[in-house]
Amino acid sequence: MRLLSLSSLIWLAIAAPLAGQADSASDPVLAGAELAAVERLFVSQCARCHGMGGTGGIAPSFRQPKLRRAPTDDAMVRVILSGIPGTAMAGFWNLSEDEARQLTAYVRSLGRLPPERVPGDSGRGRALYAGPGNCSTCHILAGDGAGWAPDLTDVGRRLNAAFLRRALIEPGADQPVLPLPSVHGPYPAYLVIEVTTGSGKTLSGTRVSEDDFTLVLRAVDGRLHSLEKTSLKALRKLPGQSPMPSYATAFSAEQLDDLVAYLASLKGEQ
Amino acid sequence: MRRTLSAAATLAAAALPLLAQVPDARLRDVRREPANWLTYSGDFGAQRYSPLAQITPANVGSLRPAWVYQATESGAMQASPLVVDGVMYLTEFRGHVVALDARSGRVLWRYQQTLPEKLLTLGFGPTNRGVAVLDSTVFVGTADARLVALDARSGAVRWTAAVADNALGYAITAAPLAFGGLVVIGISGAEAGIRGFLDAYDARTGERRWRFHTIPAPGEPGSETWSGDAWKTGGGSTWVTGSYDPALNVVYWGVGNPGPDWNGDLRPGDNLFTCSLIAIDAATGRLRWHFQYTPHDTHDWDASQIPVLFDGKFKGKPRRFVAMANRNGFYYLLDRVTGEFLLGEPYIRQDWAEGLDPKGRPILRPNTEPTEEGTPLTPNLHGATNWYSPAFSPGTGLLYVASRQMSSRYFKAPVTYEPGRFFMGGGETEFGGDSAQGAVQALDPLSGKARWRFPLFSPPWAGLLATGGGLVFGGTNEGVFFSLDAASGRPLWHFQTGAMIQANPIAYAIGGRQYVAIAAGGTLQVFSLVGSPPGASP
Repeated sequence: MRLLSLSSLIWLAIAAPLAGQADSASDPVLAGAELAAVERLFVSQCARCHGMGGTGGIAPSFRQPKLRRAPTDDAMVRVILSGIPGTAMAGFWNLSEDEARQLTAYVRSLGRLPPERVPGDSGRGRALYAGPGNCSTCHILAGDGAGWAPDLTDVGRRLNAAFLRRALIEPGADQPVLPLPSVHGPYPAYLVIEVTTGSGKTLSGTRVSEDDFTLVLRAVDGRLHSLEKTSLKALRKLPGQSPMPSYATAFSAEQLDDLVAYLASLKGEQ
Repeated sequence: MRRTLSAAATLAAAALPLLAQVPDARLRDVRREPANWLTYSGDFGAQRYSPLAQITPANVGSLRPAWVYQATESGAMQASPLVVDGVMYLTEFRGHVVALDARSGRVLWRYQQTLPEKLLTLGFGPTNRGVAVLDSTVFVGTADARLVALDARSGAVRWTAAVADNALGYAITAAPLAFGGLVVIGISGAEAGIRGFLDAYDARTGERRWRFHTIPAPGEPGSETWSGDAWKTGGGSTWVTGSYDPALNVVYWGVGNPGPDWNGDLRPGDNLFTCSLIAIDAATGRLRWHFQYTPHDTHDWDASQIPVLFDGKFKGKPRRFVAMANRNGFYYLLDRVTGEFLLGEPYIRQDWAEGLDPKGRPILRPNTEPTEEGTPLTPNLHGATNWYSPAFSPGTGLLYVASRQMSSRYFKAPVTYEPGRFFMGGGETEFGGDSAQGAVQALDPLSGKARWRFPLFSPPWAGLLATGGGLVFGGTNEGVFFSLDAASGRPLWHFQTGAMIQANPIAYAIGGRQYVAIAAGGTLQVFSLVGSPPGASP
């Protein structure tokens, strides 16, 4: 009779308590059956967003020594059990505190692995961002630019280089999703919609909000259009598309490397 | 001081008939007093229909907020209020009860629920869906599995009954059903491996009069559908308020999923009386008949929907019906005297059953069981509908259902029972976002076919109300409270309440003015037409 689900996060009720409960030591060494069990837990609970082996995906990589939201083990346990408000990180109420502690120890061990290697020159990438990339037309970075596309100030902390490269080549492929609390999510954060208004005008933009009767669109020029659905002649949703152009042909492979290197270097305030 | 007191007393005497006396006779004849909303579903037949006809398709466009009650407890309200002679009885999240002046929302009294710090509500929150009223007593179930009787005039406690042990995961979220000196209450907790039951208590004393175990013990009827000790943790919650036929003196109640939810290997057999409708003799608590919608369920498809009672002719023969749009995707019509299956039709696009056999048993498609790798299937665990209410209009003869079209991938995992812990054996991954939708459907209850369909942006969590004015009211996850033409499904009015709606609407009247009420987020919002109602005294 579950009333609310953890949206689309996979959760599996793990059979028995994991063998060998984690103790409170700050740097427990995981091995053998205990390691296998916590790896299984990680795969079922975390890997969908954080990547197999914690290499990152739509959620941050764990291959970094310091995690801003979880500077201490206790903080990480809290994040696992309660989530991070305003983000897609939901609290895992199906996990016990013991399981959260074991996952914490495992995630810490991932942070000791070598970081992802990023080819390219971030200085040249910065010039591409400011110049021919026209990125600040839509994005904001350390307060500069427009703000309707994702804030890139600390994007290198949140997304790995492989993900960033793919986003530049196929912007519609891995759409960011709206954060919870939508119990029916995940909804794409930038769904492209085309409408024909009552007067026959065509408007194209990304969905800001929608219900059965209303639709708010942001056009490519950043202007907002608040519409009554009943007044529209046509409404077309274009899933898998992005308002962002692909840089696959606009930039050379080296230029893409440079831009990825620049984006991966953006860590925000330390 | 004396002046203040007497002024207050005069005001109360003039304005509020605070002596809420609701004898059984009033509950049996609610259609005589459409101004009130006396039971959870509005009448014993659970039709969620108000005969009030002041608000119509022609004037509903002028419906405006009349007042708002803001809960003091944070957390979304899922309650359906009662209205008795100008007083509204409402429960907040965590089960606090408030009595309000139903004209203005002014608070008359408040019962602050005390819940233990270590509360177990496994698979749901400490929500509460409403109260029951009988004579001058208001009854409320608690998240820690107690039943409390309150004085309707003051909110003071008359008695408390310990229904079950919360440390094992037993909890109460449902509104009780009160009639004939009894308070019938259902239980939640199948995700914790409880053994479910339906209880009846003496309305005066709180003494338990009967208990029907939804999971039979060895030797009891239905026990042949279990093996070993699986019955001890067999689930079978009764977490949504049922209906009652006073002429037959039978209570109809839906029974929830078996435990563990997704791993059926641990409980071979049909697992009666899970995912069934049970017809219980109100005098004795004994089973008259049962009908199992989903034998050996492995997808959490509780039959925890409202059993709607109505009468009519089926194939030329007069019948007394009980209808249920079930969570498993099929609509069922049964004879409520005998339990005979009359018809069943899918009302969403489902893909787990070819159809139903002549007895109403589903004809399963292959490979629909949860697996370790995950099995995609429709509907998802929340089903084609859920706990929120359908509505039946005697005017149109249609059954209105808020339905969910959503799929998911079902997983199976090993599981061992531990007292007071989740006992589910798997999980699901929803196919959510834009791939899922909802609808308000008007079903012809005698054929199960949809007469009209109003699409919803996302699978809803709000119930419906039908009115004598020819309207259907409903709510959306996006916070819109709306009204449709009951005959055609045409949208007529909508209002953004500001929070997800996960509650059932009601209607009532005071001083010739009709009101419609719905809970949204932590508020109860009440609407009426602008201007003076026709014929109302100033």
